[in-house]
Amino acid sequence: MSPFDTQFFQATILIAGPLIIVALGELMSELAGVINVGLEGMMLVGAFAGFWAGREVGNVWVAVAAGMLAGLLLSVVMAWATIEARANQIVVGVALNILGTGLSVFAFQKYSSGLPDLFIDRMRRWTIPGLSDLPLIGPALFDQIPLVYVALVCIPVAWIVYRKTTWGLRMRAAGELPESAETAGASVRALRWQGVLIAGASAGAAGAFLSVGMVGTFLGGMTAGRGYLALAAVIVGGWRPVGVAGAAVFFGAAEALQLRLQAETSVPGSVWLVLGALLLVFAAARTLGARRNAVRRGLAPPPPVSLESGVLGGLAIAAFALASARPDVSLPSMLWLALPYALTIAALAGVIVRVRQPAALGIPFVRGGGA
Amino acid sequence: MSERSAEVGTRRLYSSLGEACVKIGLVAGAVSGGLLVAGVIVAATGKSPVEALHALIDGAFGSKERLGVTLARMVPLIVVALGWIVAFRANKVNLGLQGQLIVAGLVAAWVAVEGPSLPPVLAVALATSMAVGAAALYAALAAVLWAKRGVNEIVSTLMLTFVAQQVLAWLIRGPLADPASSSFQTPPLQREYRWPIIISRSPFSLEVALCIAALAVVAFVLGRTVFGFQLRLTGENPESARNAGVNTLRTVVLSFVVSGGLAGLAGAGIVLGGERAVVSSGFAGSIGFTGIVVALVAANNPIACIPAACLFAALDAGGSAMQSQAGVPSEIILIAQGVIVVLVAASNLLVRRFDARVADARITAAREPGLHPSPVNPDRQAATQT
Repeated sequence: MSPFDTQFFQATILIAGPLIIVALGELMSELAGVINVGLEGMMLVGAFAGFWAGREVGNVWVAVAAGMLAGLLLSVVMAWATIEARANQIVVGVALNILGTGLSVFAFQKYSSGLPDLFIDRMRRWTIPGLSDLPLIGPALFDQIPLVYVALVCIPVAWIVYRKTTWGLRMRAAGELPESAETAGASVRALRWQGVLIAGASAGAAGAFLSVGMVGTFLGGMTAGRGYLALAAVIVGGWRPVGVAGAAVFFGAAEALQLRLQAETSVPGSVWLVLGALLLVFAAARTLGARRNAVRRGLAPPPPVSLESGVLGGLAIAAFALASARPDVSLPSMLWLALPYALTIAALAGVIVRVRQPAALGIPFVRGGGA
Repeated sequence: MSERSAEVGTRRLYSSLGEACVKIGLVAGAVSGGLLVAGVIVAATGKSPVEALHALIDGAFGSKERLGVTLARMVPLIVVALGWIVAFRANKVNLGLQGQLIVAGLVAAWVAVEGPSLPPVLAVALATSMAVGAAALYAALAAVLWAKRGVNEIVSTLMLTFVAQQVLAWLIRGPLADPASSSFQTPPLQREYRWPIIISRSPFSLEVALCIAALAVVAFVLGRTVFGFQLRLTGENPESARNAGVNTLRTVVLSFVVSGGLAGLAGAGIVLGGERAVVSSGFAGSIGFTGIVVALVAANNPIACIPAACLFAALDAGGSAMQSQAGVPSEIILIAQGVIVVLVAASNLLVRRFDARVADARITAAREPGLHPSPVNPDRQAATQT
């Protein structure tokens, strides 16, 4: 039985939803020059605040708003410490993860003691008539909870902000060359505050997505590393909105696949087939990318079959062979879960066009230079 | 004239002493601030903060055994903090200390379980060295990917941590599982295959000797050797380091290897000398991350890691006592820790202002006739950058 069915795609997009939201928020922060390692903590306080408000008020949208607010509040600490006090961004982020974990679990324990049950009404799915009947991708894109639609809408919005708006350009300037942003009359300080607050609110919303949208309760540490994964998605996506969202969907697909394969006794042939196809596409893209780069620089085009494309092709053929042979192998589910992380490193090691991080990422800005 | 320079020298000594006092005072203020915030939260939930603090201190230092627990928890925190400091000197971020620590713990447990044919002393030595080596290699993977392929080290170290966590989850359920136990863990190590205990009925073991040695070596290498200087040069200005003939790529990779090796030492120590003789899914806690904030509170100074780790270990060890005795959830400790770190990080603002004043004073002093202007102290520059 092939695991790549309608349900798989639906689960992929659902799991990717919170990642897309938090990763696009973090993208804005990093473009402006602040890397936020504390997303995990912000998601956790967002998840608890969403759970709490959902239980108290009973409205899912109020719950999401509460989650956003909680993430925002924690990111005020981040912004103040990194922008105003110019503290090391990574360390403050790590501290905020500790703080967020502590705050959310402490508040949950205090709140939950004496409650008869810990469940809240989950957000209901909005099925868009007509479109949701499309084969394969219909349910994935048009039969989801509304927060998924919000996540999907965030992608073009982020793209427009990044490409088409003055504000987006200024954000990028604040992260690339803060002095020039200042010269052009923008306040780097204000832009960075905006970036950090957007990341915090997104992380809070993504946390509420988990508790209110997906699980229907709060669990300590329920984000399970998604904040760190979002950080990785920003870098894997090359600091571009569409790339970042694509990386988030990739992580979602890997987790959805793992959920499907947990129950299987042996790896279905179609998984090998897809793996082989991905390797081929990757090899082709690398070869074409190298050629295009060479042409752009006016160098002789590299030979179409290099050692690297040979190795990749060989691996692909091996994967196809496995697909036809259907050997009785089963990987433990834990190793399936480790696969996307290993693939991420592999993909970063072999990216087609080397992307550069914002030049001033992580560096505090001082108006007028000097320390 | 000599009288005068002596006077200026005294003034300088006072100002650097004053500076140290100010920095220590700021950290003390941050710690009080963190405890104050936690106390207010405790009070807001209707419990007595005084009682909670009492339970906390009693839980951390109240008896010889409890002191032993606190000391035992200090050890890995110090070593992980050293690992962060070494990489950070080269301006590199090793966010994967946790993963390197997990790898080391697994290797140590495996060797110690498989090694009963060896004499115990040899088995412990072998387990420690293999664990350190494995963790160093694991960190080197990230460093080499950075040097050769430009892979961002923040992502690669984080990803490798996730991989290590999943491999851990798999090994304790499969190949390394204890058949005699219903919970997922490795078989418990025999007493003689662990470090000898120093404080009886507590986990504090002779492993602390390795920690002290690591501390001394790191402090010496960073402060007094060419490699330490190259590390700092590479971190502060890679271009001038290259111009001065430093192989910056090699230096960074080496710093990662050392950093990972130290995380490995911590991981091996948890298994061979910590509170529990098994590796389970949560055996590493979040030491790999807490160590980072210990380094920050210590202002990236190896020796200052001792009091900083003592603070975090005491909070950690006292937290559970507080939960059982005062009825306050132990997570309040995480809140206090987080607030302390943010306040310490932010206190840079005040340190910088103080530095600026000291620098002004020095310039004024230098302008006095007959005195040479003093060069800017590189230590201080490094401190302001953190």
